[in-house]
Amino acid sequence: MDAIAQVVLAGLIMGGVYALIALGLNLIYGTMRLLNVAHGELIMFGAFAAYWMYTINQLSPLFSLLLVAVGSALFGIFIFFCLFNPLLKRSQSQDMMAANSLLIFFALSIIMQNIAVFFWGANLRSYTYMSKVIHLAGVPVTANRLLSFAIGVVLCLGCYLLIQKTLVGKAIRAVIQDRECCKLMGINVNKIYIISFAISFAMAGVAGVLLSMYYVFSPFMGLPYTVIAFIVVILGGMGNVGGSLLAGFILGLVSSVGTALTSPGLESVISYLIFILVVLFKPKGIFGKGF
Amino acid sequence: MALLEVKSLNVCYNGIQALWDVSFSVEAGTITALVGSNSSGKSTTMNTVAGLLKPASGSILFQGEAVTTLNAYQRVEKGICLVPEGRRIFPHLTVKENLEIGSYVRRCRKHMRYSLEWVYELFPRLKERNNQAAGTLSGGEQQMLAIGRGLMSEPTLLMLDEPSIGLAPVIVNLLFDLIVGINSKGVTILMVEQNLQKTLEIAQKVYVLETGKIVVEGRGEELLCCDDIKKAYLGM
Repeated sequence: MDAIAQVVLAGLIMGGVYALIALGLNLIYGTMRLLNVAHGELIMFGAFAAYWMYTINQLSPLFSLLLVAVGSALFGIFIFFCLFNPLLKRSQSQDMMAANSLLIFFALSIIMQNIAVFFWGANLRSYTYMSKVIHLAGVPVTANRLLSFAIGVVLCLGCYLLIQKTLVGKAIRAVIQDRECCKLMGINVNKIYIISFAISFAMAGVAGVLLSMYYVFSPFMGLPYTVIAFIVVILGGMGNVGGSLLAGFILGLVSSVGTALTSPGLESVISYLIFILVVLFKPKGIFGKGF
Repeated sequence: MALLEVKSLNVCYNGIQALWDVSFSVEAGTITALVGSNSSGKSTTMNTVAGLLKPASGSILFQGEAVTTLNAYQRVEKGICLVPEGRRIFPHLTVKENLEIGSYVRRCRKHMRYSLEWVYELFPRLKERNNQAAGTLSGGEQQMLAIGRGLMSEPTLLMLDEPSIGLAPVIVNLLFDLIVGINSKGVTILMVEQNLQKTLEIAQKVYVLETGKIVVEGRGEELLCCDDIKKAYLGM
């Protein structure tokens, strides 16, 4: 019984991070139809930033969380203005835009990886913060994981409410559905793109900080997380922001239960299996297109 | 001074010139219609006035002010609103959310609640379906929603591109009554329509477009009486 509870809890904790990562990826995909393949590198930068602030300046990750969120959002806005705004102006068609943006994101991911190797080396790193074990209804869990879960859930809910309830959020959903028509509604679509970039980058950075509290990380940690984010986005429906929140938890649970039943080495096999099944039988995601 | 003045507009679309030296004006408080056969440049004209297409040359004056260089969203702020062809409602947003998006511009946000009440009064069916996803509405209801959404931006000039397309005849009659009703409340209307008989009946001023040029202009009743024009350009 305890074993089951432990596996479920581990799944939920992982799911919270997955949801956070996928939400950001899906936001940019939804509004702009662009796939950010450098998403994992943003997570990696978040993790290193937290590590750096904690080990050198003794700044608690809880505080660096805020700094990383703001910094990542600004970085997103900077990237948008420097690289994507000119691209939007020059692109004749959406296909051209999508192809060129993929190159840009790829370049970004390579550059970020190499910057990390250059400054921090290629070693695996970690630090200990709040690693005390707490017994939650008899199930042992480290405090940092619990904290990460709580923050992840709060952020996911906050984002969900922002997108569902506020006028800007409704505008974001409207842009996801019909960009051209939004211009006729008086929506400055470029502004919505900038907001999407800011939220997406901030979420990735924050996810990196949360992961760094209990996982080892290296300059090359990004790709697996980008892949996981893709899987979650496909699972929840591309452009369906609410769907990717739920799908994040589902993937977390399934891979946690799956690895417990088989072996930890099969984690990515299980994720890919889910991915293949969804693409085969539910190509529009398990929640369809209701956003 | 006319509310909208379009002067010698030349527009290229996918490298092909679609409008040639198009000039027309819309007087405040009137219903003005653009008619003509398929691909005569009606929708191109509407999209250019709304700001979705940039003209190669020519100018657009709204309330005496040049809006030619403004983006589409900035023109909505000025009071120009286009209800696009094919309705283009947001299918996964609820009816109410669609209407709220209609009053997204800063000028209208404060009055959102009053505008909502006004639109619901105009279209009681929309109020009944308030929380339903807009994609589940019938064609007629979707057109009402598209027009209601346009009205939420409190436009001075409401442009309707083919509002009656794909609607049952009974609904079409209802729609034309509504357009006249909206116009009588002081909203100037510029419309493109396939239903010529009805359009000529309600429009004060009509421009006939053919292959991107304005070939005839006149009062609606005039054109309705003139058999030569009806035969030559309108196929009636």
